[in-house]
Amino acid sequence: MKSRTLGSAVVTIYWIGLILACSVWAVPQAASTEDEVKAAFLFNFAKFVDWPMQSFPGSDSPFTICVAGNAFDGALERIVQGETLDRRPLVVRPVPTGTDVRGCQILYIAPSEARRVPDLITAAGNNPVLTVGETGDFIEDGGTIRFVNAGGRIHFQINPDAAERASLKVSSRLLRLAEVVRPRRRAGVAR
Amino acid sequence: MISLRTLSIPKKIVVIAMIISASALLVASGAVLGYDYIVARENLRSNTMTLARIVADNTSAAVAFNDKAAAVDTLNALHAEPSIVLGCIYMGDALFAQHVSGRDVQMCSPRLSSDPSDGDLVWTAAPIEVKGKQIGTVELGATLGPTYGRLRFEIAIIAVILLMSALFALALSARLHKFVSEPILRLARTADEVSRHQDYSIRAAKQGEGELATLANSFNDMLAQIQLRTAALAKANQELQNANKMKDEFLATLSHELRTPLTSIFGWVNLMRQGRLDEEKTAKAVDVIDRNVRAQIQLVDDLLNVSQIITGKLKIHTCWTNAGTIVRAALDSIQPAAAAKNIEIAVNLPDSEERVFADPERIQQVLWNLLTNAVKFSEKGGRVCLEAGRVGTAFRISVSDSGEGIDPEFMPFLFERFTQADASKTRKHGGLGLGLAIVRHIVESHGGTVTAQSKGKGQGATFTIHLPIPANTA
Repeated sequence: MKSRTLGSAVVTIYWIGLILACSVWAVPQAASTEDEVKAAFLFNFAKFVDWPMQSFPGSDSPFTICVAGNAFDGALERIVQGETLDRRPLVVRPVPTGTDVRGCQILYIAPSEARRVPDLITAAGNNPVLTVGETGDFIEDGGTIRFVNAGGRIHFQINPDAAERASLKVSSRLLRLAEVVRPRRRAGVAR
Repeated sequence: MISLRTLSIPKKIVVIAMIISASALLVASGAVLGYDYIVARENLRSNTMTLARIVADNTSAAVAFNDKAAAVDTLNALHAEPSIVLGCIYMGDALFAQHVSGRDVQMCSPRLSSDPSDGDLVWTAAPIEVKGKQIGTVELGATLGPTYGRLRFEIAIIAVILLMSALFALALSARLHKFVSEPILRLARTADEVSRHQDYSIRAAKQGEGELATLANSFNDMLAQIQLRTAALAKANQELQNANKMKDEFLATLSHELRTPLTSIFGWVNLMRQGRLDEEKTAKAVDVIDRNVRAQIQLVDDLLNVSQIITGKLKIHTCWTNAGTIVRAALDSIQPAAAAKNIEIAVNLPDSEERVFADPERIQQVLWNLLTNAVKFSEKGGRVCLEAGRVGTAFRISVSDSGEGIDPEFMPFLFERFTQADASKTRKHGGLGLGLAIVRHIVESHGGTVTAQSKGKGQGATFTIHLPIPANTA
């Protein structure tokens, strides 16, 4: 008799749980903009890629995300605001012109800067710089990660060979989420 | 309910053996099951915890990049582990991805892990961390269902083992109980037989060593004692019956003996009263009356003496006295009776001055009794011989006759009270059968002995008395 009442109590709790679950799902979540998603991805890449120690001048040198061209509409700054990575503060540095990418851990090249892509990648060279871009030939040009917008959903491609050339260790967890691409045509990168 | 008390010993032993084996097995298997359950639960918890950590590690990127499909992919790998029925990934308190298997309607949301052990489910949680920062939580719910299934199987096996061991214990104890029960049952059967047949000569069989052997021996000892007592009681009873019979016979004899002289006296007194008797006949009548009165006095005296002997009041007053005087006094008193039967009494008394330390009246009574018997049992014209003299430290008196002697069968009862060789009513000789009993009592009161010898019926008899003479005799 006791177990029966206990059982019915459990069933009741299940129903309450289901109703609660539905109500939680019913709450409309604030839709993220594409800029915000990409900015968050950039920050996440930093977490799943390991940079060699010598890529930082000092132990408390900041982690620098360089952005070539206009992008994110300030979303990236908002995300990294106050964040640290391995006790390093995060810094966003614009690269409006030129190819000075020294001190960059991540180099994002906005679609608007499509013409500068080969030069910037060449500038990054074999230095430990994670190049992220969106242009169609970004991987073929020697870039490491390329954002792809498929039906409003952002995902990304990774060229592990490029990461390897830059002495970057990409976490397998990240690789699992990514579309791994290895371009047949070697990018025109001086070796 | 059948009580253990009412069962027979073999059944008791069998039941006890089965109870003991079953309870030992139950306790042991209960402990094993309990241990098994605890270990299984703990193993499940630690395995689930490990899995939760692995899942947390593998889904960190998926959570970070908000890739639910990848997270669900990873969670679906939990299919390989059937005990995991629920896998949930939360970002903060919001459900991110879930994996549900089995028929459970249980869902991840809202978070259920507030109670870490919810009935059949074991809940574990592991944080999802990236670079030391928690970005989410993995919670896994593992069911104890397979464990319960295994425990049920084990219980079934234990039930089978219990049944088999019960049967085994039954078979084993059905044979082994004999070591204990058989001797007891044998003893019980022996006791039953003894009480049923009232046969105390039956003995329990000897059996080995130990308490049961002691029991059998004690039982046999008791039987032996009962047998002895029973025999003694039977003997005593027989003696009592004999004594009673003797007393009846004695009463008959006594009334007869008391009546006989009275008849004679009464007859002669009547004749004298009629006054038709001449002088000679009157003198004879007085003689007869006198003799019968004396006989009756003697009878009553004997009775008194016996009564005194029985109550211990017969007193002996010893003094130094002349043996010859006693002998002659006895001879004088028997002379008329002897003369009446024309019996000669030969006396051999070498030293008439011999002195004895005795009660003269009682010794005289003894001699008179012996001489009366000798005269009574001798034929007319027979011969009675009295010899008296010192032999060593004793004074010996013997009285012999040529009479009808003593049947050897009667010899052992010769000196008993109320016994006569011929107790029938048509017997030849009168008397109460007290004389020799009185003789023996008086002689033994003096510290002496009296014996009788006879070569058999018709061969005569000799009675011999030894009276001790104290050392300080002059």
